[in-house]
Amino acid sequence: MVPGRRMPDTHQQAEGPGSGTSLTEGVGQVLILIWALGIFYHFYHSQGFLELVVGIVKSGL
Amino acid sequence: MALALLGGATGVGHLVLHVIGAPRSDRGETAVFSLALGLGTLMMLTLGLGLAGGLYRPVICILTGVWCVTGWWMLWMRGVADAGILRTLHVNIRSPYVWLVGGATLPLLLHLVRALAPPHGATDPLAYQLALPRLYLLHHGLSFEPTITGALYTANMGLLYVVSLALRNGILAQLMHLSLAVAVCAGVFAFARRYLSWQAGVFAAAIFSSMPVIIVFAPQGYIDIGLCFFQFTALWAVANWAREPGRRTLLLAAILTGLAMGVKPQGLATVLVGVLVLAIRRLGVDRDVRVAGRDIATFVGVAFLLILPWYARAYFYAGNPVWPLANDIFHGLPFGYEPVVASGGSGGSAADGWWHVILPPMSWFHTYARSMNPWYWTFEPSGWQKAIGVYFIALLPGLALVVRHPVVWRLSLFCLGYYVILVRALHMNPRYGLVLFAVASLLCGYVAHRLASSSWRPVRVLFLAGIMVTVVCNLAWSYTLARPYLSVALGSEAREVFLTRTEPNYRLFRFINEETPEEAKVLLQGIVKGFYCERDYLWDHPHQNVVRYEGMSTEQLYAQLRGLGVTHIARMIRIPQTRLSLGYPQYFTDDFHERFRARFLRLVYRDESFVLFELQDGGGA
Repeated sequence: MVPGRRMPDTHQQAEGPGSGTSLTEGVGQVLILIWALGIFYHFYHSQGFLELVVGIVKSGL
Repeated sequence: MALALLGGATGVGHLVLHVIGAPRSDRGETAVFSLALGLGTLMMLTLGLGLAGGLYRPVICILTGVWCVTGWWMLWMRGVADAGILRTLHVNIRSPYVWLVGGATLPLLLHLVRALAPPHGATDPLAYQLALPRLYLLHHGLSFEPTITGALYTANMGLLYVVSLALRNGILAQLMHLSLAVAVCAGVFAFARRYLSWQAGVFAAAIFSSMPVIIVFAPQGYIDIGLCFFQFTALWAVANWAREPGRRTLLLAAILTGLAMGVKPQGLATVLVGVLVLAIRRLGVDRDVRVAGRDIATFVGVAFLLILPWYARAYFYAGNPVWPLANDIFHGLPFGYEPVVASGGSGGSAADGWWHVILPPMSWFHTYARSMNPWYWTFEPSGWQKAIGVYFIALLPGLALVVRHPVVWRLSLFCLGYYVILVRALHMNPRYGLVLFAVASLLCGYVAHRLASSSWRPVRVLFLAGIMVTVVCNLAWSYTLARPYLSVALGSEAREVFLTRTEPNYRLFRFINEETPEEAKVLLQGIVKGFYCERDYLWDHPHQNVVRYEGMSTEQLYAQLRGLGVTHIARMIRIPQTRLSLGYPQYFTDDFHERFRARFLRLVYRDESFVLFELQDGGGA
């Protein structure tokens, strides 16, 4: 490799990670989706974020 | 001014990168490495100037000016060649990634509002990170203030703050810290684009920038995000070397590691990780012990060479290169308190054996279960510095879907290893180990990309909708935090008025700065934050070993203070309970301090919280 020249990116993926989903992977994605959305709701609800957004919208910034 | 410094740094860093000659992958990586190296050159120049006693404002301005012009000239030359890239940039308004970038950029603009307010409130910047650089400027060199705990720590970020204070003020220092948060996001994106996917990079940068610990601390004069930036670039360079070992790549990794180690003692973890990676590559893959030894020696040698001046300075002043750490080993200048390195101690007595340092007993895990648990860092953090946000708990379980990817597997291994370091040696404090979360953001970003590009449309749509709701919530929080500072940031409230309103000791220090002679030396009693004091000062706290009270008569104390050059005492009138429990006396109800006050102190200033006394001879009885 010549110093200063560009290195080839052998790890760069040509396609997105979601292509070619198998049934097992599909079930896995659904489970992770449910987990992630549940955690999002629990976090933003318990920390008062949702009320914060509503409050800002009501007060018109 | 901050943009001028950042542009200058990128240009100078590009020149340094060219001289080192390490192979480069793309513009993003080159820009991030250039910024780190460029800031490194400014730090080293200021370090040299500080050690030589040349920290005079005109000297710093000229030096920084020449450095900046050189950098911008390099950038201009480079910019002409790179201008074409902007023409190839296509923005599709219907892409969710465009909205994600917008949703993550707006909070950064709101953080800018907070950074444009003068430093106030937070203790650490006003007691240490910004206060020490101000003292260096007062003394025109890297002086030693033995009453401040971290006065001899490595402090590369402090050198940037010296330049910021010399050129402008504490706001510029805050802008530099915020800029490095943006730089970490850029680095996270560029790393992901190279090793994972650009979409993962967008998610990762958005996730990192929305961590509460980043949102709260980035616009303030802390140094932890600076540490994260230099650690991230150093480990990135180490990863590049591991993929394609070469002498120049190793040199680049070693220099960036040295810069990271020089930010604060917690940066030493970088060299540990680097050595492990080098050893695994050379011994595990190449199976060459001789080359392994040579590479590790080169890496460690170059990295330590960059922080040697800091250690030499500490040894010169205190007889201990890492003062006040490990003072029992080096027998350095006594200090009333020795900071603990292992979090929560080793968990057992010395007789239990050395293995307890690595693997503590079960009782230790029971005691610290909450302190080290990412679930509690997410939902019930004990302070903002431990608040990591929601995405890690939400998305990291998704690694099960992508762990076969070799880069994901290696990044996961790094995260596990660095988590152990964070728990055992970095006080279980996420603020001290932000690089772990920068890398974990990459993993979360890749999981997010997997869900966002699912071939099953409901998964895709629901996930992106959920993410966008979180982005809106984060934006609302950033707006709430920024709103009180809009008036001062936009100039409708004067900074003096703002500081009088928000920083309790500001009026006291303004009086000191205006009414006491230049050569005055102030003893701060019960006051922690000395940043706005533009006179030399000592910090009177229970752990310092300079001003002694035990077994003293009031006459002896007077002689001691005179011997130390103290001319004034600034005192908090009512010491709060939290400080009393640390060992501070309640000065005005303490018999000894009251007798001393009555005989040797003359009141020259008073407000509702603070007083200033002038030290005078015993005729005041």
